[in-house]
Amino acid sequence: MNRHQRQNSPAQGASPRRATAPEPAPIIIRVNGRPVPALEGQSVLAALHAAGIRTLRRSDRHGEPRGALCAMGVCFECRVTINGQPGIQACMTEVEDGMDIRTDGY
Amino acid sequence: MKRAPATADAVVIGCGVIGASVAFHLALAGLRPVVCERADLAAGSSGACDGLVFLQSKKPGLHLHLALESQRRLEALRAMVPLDYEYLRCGGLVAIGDEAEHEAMRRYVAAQRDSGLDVRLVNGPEARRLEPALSEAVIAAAYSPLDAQINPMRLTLALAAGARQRGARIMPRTAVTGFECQAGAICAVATTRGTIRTRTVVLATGADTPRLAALLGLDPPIRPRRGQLLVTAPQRQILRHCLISARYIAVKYDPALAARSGQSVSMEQTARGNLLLGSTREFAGYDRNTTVDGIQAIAAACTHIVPVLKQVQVIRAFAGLRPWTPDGLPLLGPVPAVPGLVLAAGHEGDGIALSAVTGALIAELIVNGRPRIDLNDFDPMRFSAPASAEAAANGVSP
Amino acid sequence: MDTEPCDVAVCGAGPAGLAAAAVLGRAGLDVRLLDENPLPGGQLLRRSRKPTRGGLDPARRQGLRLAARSKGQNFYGKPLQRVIGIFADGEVLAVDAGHRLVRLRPRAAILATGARERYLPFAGWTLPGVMGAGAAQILVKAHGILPARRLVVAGAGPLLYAAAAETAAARGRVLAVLDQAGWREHWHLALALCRQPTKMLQGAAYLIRLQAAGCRVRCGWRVVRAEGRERAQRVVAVRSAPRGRPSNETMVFSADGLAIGWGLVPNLELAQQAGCRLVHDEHRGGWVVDTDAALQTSRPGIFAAGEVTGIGGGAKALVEGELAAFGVIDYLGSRLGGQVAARRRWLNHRRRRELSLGRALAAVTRVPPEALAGIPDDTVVCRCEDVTMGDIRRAVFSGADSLSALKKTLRLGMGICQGRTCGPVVLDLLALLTRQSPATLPPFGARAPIKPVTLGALAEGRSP
Repeated sequence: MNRHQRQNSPAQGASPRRATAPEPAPIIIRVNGRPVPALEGQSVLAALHAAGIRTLRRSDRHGEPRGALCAMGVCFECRVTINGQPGIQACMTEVEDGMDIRTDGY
Repeated sequence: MKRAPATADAVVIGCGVIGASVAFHLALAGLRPVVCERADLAAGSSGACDGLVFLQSKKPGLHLHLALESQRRLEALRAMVPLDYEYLRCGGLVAIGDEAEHEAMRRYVAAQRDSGLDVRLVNGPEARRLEPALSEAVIAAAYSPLDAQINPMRLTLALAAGARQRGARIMPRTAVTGFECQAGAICAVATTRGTIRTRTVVLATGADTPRLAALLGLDPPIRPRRGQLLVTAPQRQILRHCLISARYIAVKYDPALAARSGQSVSMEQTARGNLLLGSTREFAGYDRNTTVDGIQAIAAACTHIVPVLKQVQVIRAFAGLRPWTPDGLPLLGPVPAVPGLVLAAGHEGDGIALSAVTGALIAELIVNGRPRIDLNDFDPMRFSAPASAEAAANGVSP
Repeated sequence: MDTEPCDVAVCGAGPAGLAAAAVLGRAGLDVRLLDENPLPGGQLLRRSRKPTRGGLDPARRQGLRLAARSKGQNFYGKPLQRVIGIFADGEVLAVDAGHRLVRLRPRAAILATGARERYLPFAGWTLPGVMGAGAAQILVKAHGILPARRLVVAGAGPLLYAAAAETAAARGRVLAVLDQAGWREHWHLALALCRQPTKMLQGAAYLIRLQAAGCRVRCGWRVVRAEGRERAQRVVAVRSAPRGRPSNETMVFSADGLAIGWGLVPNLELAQQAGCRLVHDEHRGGWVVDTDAALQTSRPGIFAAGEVTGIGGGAKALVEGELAAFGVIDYLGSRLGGQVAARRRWLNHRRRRELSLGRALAAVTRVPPEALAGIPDDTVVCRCEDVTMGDIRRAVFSGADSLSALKKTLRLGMGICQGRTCGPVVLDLLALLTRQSPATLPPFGARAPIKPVTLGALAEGRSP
């Protein structure tokens, strides 16, 4: 059994490189016009959450506040307007310097 | 599993919008029909179509006359059923893209006006005043304030619920497996929930009609024609009217224009805010799958006419099988070869618009022996008689 | 735009997809690994861009090795390709980060679309601050951000403990873990874990960490309400009485965050859209993709691996990814090496062991009828279309007895998430309200595009 495993198992490959990754660079995004700090590689959701922003939109039928639920691209509760394009999932989008985000959509 | 009743005044097969409407009108006339639906209510084309009640797309003459009558009835029916079906007389535009279409629409609109429809041609700027989202690609439009839209699934459910309230029995997940005849006339329907004795059977089975008719040795010329549609996420108001392209009409009635390339378009924004964008017309057997080609063609044609749609998200695509007939008109009425059998099928894209009048006329036919409007043009036998070969040739060939 | 031919499209770059792609790549096949996330690894390995170690879990360690190696491979050149459909002619349609369509025509495909969390609606669960346990974990692990200042974790299943312990490890304040399952269900899970000592150790480590952080761990309690204006401020829980008897024991927490989850459900949408047959198995998490022994679905050339064939965790996913890859190699008529038969036997043996773990997980995360029956009428169930529990009860009362009927009357599941969030729980609700077996109730269907795509992207390069 072990012999086969050694020959075929991808588990026997190289271990992840432990090279020191560069620290993520701080950037600035704009949320509803206000500057908010973020880190390169962060999702938009993480950046907003770190800034204390929980309400990302209003429910379109009754105007109730809604925020992220699944954070993995399933529930679509975290959709925001990014650079003018509405309906973008904050959890599935990485921040970019100068990105314009609006949380007043529905 | 609930058993079917042993007898019924009439058995309606199929609970799409036509079957539900026939059952409703039969029940309204005091009969106790049983509706056998092989799947769920509105599981076929009635649950996979747009919600246009478009008068401008009806053939001038009796077809348009029926559509006008049907619309009046759809407005009146709202007070008689227990569910709102989001009927809205929003007015409709036929978007014209080039001079050839413009010329064809001039003739077509004149004929419609002669048939009594309130419709007029407007130029490009006027079309954009009516519907600001239209692009410059629209050079003119035909406009009628009478065109309306509806939620077809809710209409089907509403008619079925209204029928049930008046004594009809609706049986979903009940498939018809055969018919029993006595001296050539129908006397019973065999279903997966037992046999129902009846002297009257209405086939309201849309594109599935040939399969059921084959059980009686008949082959009505109805063929499935696939229509793919896209649904967008709910939007704030983008469209004020329901809208089709002139190609839509061309594909239906004008073989010369239909032969040119390009995708015909239908658009509406539902009460909820979703846009419903269609639609293809393809002969692909009973395949209800959507295709990359179909989806892309609709997207390209719609964004060409309404560019703001480019950033709107599509959340699903679906396809329904329209019951196509050689002359674009439904098959309504008795089948002399099988006494007791009545056809109410073959509406292609007009099932929703013609649902109310179809149900009323078929009920009158069954209860009184003849409907108030003469159904000769819709005679199910019109294709089998040699005289009707010409009529078939005039229609759109597959 | 033309379609690009390739040998195999692997949909999903979690453990199953990574394991499959590695084997297929070694066999010299032209593989495309498609995933909507910026980094390979799926939910199990979701991590930051900083190098991470796997910890105790061997599946995580192996997965991380695969993910690290996949970066150098040609098949993972382009991340962020979201598959939106597999069509009848075999074409795989995806959309990339720049909203451009990617059209592939593979000779075979592997569906490794993983799982998502199951949520149970309760009063106030739509308030911002109420999030999935997985969401809390992603925030703290992938981004180093605390999910809340004061967090309560509630629901059922081992993921709650992971989310709580990782938040505590990041010096977050976790007030309580409220597990709806009682000690009896946990005892069965512990028995199943006996054969997996590392998982047992990991569980023990979580509990020790939570104990040390002063977090209350309570079994047999469930959350009934989140309260607050604009965002969650208080969490109310009650003790589940044995055998459905009412209980008035309650706990109230002042918390600005509530992480919830009731186990996992498979992401079946792509399989459904592609026309693959499903099968119902309550021990594997309800509806799952039906496969043969080689993990081929009912659609020839389409294989399935990982959580979509039954909830069973990362180790099962790795095993199935490899098995599915062997199945594809067979299907394409490529030659398999001499030792493969033995390797397959061993993988199948491992697979059976992991499936028994899945069975114990399913028991621990089963939602009790009283929790469903107790959902108040004014609670939103379908968050996209704002359909409430009362709407559902009334529709069922007037005769709706299938998901399709509820959908047509209420628009339930017709919103932008396409029923992914409410679908699993509505199936349970409907079974309860109409006294039908869940196995006779088909789930919501799925149609292309299985995730939203702009009309502009679809229309690109196409004349009207």
